[in-house]
Amino acid sequence: MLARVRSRRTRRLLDNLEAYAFLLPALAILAVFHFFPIVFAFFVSLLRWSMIDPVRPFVGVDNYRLLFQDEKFLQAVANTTYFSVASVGVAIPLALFFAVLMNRQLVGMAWYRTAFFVPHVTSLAAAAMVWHWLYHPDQFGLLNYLIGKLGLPPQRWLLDPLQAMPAIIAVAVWSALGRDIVIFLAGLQNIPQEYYEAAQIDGANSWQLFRHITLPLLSPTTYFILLVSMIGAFKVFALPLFMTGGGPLNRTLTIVYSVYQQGFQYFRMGYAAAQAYVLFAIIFLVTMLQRRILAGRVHYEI
Amino acid sequence: MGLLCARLHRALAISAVLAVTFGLPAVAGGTVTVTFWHGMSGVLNPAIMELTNDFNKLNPGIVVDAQYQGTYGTLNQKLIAAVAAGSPPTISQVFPNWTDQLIRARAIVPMERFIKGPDGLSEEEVADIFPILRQENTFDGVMWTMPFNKSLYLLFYNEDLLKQYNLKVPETWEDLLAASRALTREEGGRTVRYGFVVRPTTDYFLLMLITNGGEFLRPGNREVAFNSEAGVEGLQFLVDLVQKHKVAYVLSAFADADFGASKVAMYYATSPGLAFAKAAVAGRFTIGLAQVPYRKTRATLLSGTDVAIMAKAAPEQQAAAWKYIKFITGTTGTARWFMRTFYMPVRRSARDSTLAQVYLRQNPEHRAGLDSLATARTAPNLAEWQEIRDIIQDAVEEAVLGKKTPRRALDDAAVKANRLLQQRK
Repeated sequence: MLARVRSRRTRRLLDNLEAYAFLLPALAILAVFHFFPIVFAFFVSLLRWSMIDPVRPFVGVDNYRLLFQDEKFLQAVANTTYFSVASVGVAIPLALFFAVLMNRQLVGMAWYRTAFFVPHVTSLAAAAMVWHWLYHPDQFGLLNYLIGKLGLPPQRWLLDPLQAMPAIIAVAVWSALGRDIVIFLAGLQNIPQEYYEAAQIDGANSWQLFRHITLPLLSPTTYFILLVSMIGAFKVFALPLFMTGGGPLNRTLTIVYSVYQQGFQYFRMGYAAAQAYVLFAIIFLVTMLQRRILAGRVHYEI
Repeated sequence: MGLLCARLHRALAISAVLAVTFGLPAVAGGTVTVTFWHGMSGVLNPAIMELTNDFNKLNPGIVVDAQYQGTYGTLNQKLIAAVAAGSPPTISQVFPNWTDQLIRARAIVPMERFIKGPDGLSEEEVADIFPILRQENTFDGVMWTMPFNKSLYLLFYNEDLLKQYNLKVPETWEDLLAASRALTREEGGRTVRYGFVVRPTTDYFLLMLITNGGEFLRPGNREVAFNSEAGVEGLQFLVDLVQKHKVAYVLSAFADADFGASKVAMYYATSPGLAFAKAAVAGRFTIGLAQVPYRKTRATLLSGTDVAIMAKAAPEQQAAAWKYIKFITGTTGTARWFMRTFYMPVRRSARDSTLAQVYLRQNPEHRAGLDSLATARTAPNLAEWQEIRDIIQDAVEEAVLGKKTPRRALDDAAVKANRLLQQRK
């Protein structure tokens, strides 16, 4: 009896062997590049370690305690929050606006959609270099040339402590817009036409159509974009790395940049890992908060 | 048969590549391979290749492979990662504050072992190396690295403009201010040329600190001293040039492009910056070089890297590496390096050699560099200095942009820097 159970189990395992074999590559990659680093980073965050020093004292939560007294890190948290709220706050309404405009049959619409999507498929590093040049602080900069035509004095852009972050946010919005528009377009095309026809018969104007049909029925899409964009925004790194190096006065230093700086410039791995875990906690909290507040307002039908 | 031969060849080639990649049998057919990681880009790269090729020709049986790794920052990251992964190069360029870290990680072997070894240097040959450089490469009484490409800060100026305004080359801070004032030019309410430029960098501040008699650290290396009266006055002087006298402007980028375009008449840069200045000026005017202006003490900042031999390399690789280092830092090697790149010769004998003297007669502007050597100072060779540099840079930015007074900015920076130094084991 027992033997038969075992043999059945073995047979099932053998049957599924093929499936496991197919899963293995993905699992191996996930294990090596995700699961192991996640666990190891937490272990490292409890050490003081320079990555090559054989002596790596266990310091417990010391790294975490230091973080909350570190002005520079707290500034990075504030900067990142500023970046995330502003870039997502600007990008989503803007993307919705363009998506609604583009959600119609017109000659050349495919061309417009492509034009908006191109920034998103452009390598962020390359785009950042181009923008760096557009923001050149002299009269040579294209932006300064353009505002000069309007009679405005040349601006310092990335070198000005107050303008640097907005300048980076503008690039982030420019880059994310295409992706958001495409997702919004997909959402818009899922709204059944009948709702609009019924409302039109009832005499609704186009604002009312938008406010009472489009907006609520698009809410699952909006919610999705909001979650994904927020998570992405909190992880911002490439733009400040290539455009400002975190300056001026650390006004564009973001959390991931700070992790990079601590880990790979000062080689304080424990401290860097602790910062990465704090970032994880922040993203987790923000996502939970969004779920709590917004999930109830998402409509799947009218 | 032919096919088999081809296969055999290919297999051999592949295994040779693998051997080089993994650095396992470094000796194949009596040839020792030495890899040398460096960060010498642009015009400096051919200079390093030339020395290396000559060495390889003179030393059959040794192949030194000099590999450009990117900027110093990238080199640092790659080196630490390679050490952590257990596959470092044989030799690497290192800054003194990296050396401190590499010693603690037992990743390098002391140069002294080879200096005192059978193929070593005589006492005179060691004494021939400038004392400041020996001192910078010495940690706890042991010479761990060898000085290689050492640059120092100089005042770069537009000689034609100075002549035109009948100005003498600034010797002191007061001269610098006076000359900047004379050379700043306004046209229609806009400044079209500044006398001087202030780059909000650590080095600009450190130059003011040491020419005003200030120190980097307090004795014992547990506390910084840059927020002394000398430091505050130095930073205030830079801020005043920009804000009070309006004879200088703030620039984050390198200044050679603006210098070439005659938008600024004077700036500070390191000696190898001359090649970049020449490229930017393109012969439109004569470039003058002078020692950095001072108030209390004549001084300048010595920077640049040393070379280290990695502990992981095989003994025969290390011996070959030492031979190479002896070649590039020997009298002829360092004199040639100086003439090609305007990095400073690391030996007195090279400075005084006929080779260098003839060269100086043809390029008299280089004399300021050699004259500065006698008064050059080096920043502390502590691992923490890497981060302290960034802390100072933040303070300089804050002061120059008017966010804090120089005293406040430096005091705040000192608190942060002291915290790092006190964590030091």
